[in-house]
Amino acid sequence: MPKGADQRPPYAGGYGSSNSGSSLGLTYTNDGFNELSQTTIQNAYSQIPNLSVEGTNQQVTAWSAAKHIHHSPDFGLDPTKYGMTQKDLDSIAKNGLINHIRDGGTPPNDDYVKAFQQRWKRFAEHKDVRECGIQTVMGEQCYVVKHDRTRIFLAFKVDSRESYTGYQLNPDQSRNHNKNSTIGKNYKN
Amino acid sequence: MQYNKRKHLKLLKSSPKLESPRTSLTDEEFVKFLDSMPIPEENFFELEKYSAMMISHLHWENREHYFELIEKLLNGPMHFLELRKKYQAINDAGESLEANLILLEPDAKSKGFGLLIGDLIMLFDRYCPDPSLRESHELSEEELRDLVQKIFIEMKERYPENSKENV
Repeated sequence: MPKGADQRPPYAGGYGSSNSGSSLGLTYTNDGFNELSQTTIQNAYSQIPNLSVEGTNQQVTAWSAAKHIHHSPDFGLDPTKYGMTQKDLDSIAKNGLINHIRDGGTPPNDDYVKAFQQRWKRFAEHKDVRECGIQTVMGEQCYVVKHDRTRIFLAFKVDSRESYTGYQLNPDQSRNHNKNSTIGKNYKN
Repeated sequence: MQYNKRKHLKLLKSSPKLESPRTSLTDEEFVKFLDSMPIPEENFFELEKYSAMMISHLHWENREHYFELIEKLLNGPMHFLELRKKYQAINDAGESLEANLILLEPDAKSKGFGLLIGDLIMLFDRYCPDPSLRESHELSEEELRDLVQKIFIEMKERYPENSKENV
């Protein structure tokens, strides 16, 4: 890659095919997963312990990692290593995790969610990640950390101090963030 | 800020060469990946400005197709994957052009389009169609449609289609 070319994290482009079941104790009924309540699904992921970000009181929760698993390629994770495909990630991006599972889609297994949690933790603890302070991320007050060079950010909610979301910004969004300390317009309020 | 192609090229060529393993990464490899990219200096932010201008231009050049996709979304089911994929493909194309040192002169009228379309795409992450599952920061279909409509109106006002520009 030529000097200075913009860096995209590995596997950010898409993946092939693979499939495997869940290791979270989510069991199919005759109708698939569609009778599962959000609580059941959320509880299954919540059995995975939170990870603390060293030197802070912030926590990376399994639930937030599972919900945002479609952003895991931005952090160098390959879904096919965990029995999922890019199509599964597209489905989660489009329908949300719960509906993806209820529609019979492959749930991210605990190894994948743990790996993503660990990736977020490593990212937040990296020496070159900039602490941006409290900022608005899509209308939510969050603690934000950002790696300027890759334009990847990670946000923790101020009220709960739990992980919220993280992914790679486009250059315009990154510039806007540097200038105005916000990510995404708060169109809702 | 004025776009300066020569400066953009110079900055691309003079920025530190960065390792970019494009394979699945272990935690250690991911940390090394971040380590391999030095903390940016002033030049980086200038380069980022030029990159943003060029990629915004690429999004803007595709505005008519974007508008079609948004209209389809507003007039039908909330199937936004095509829109999201187009957005990602254009970002990738921009990065690929830069990687190959191929630069396009951005039209001044394209300024800010990349940010607006990026903000629109980000909204989809907050969409939760099922009210029983919805968290406080998430959006219902109606709320999402309203916001998409709002951004769409802003887009059409600020960035008219080619045929309308020439009227």
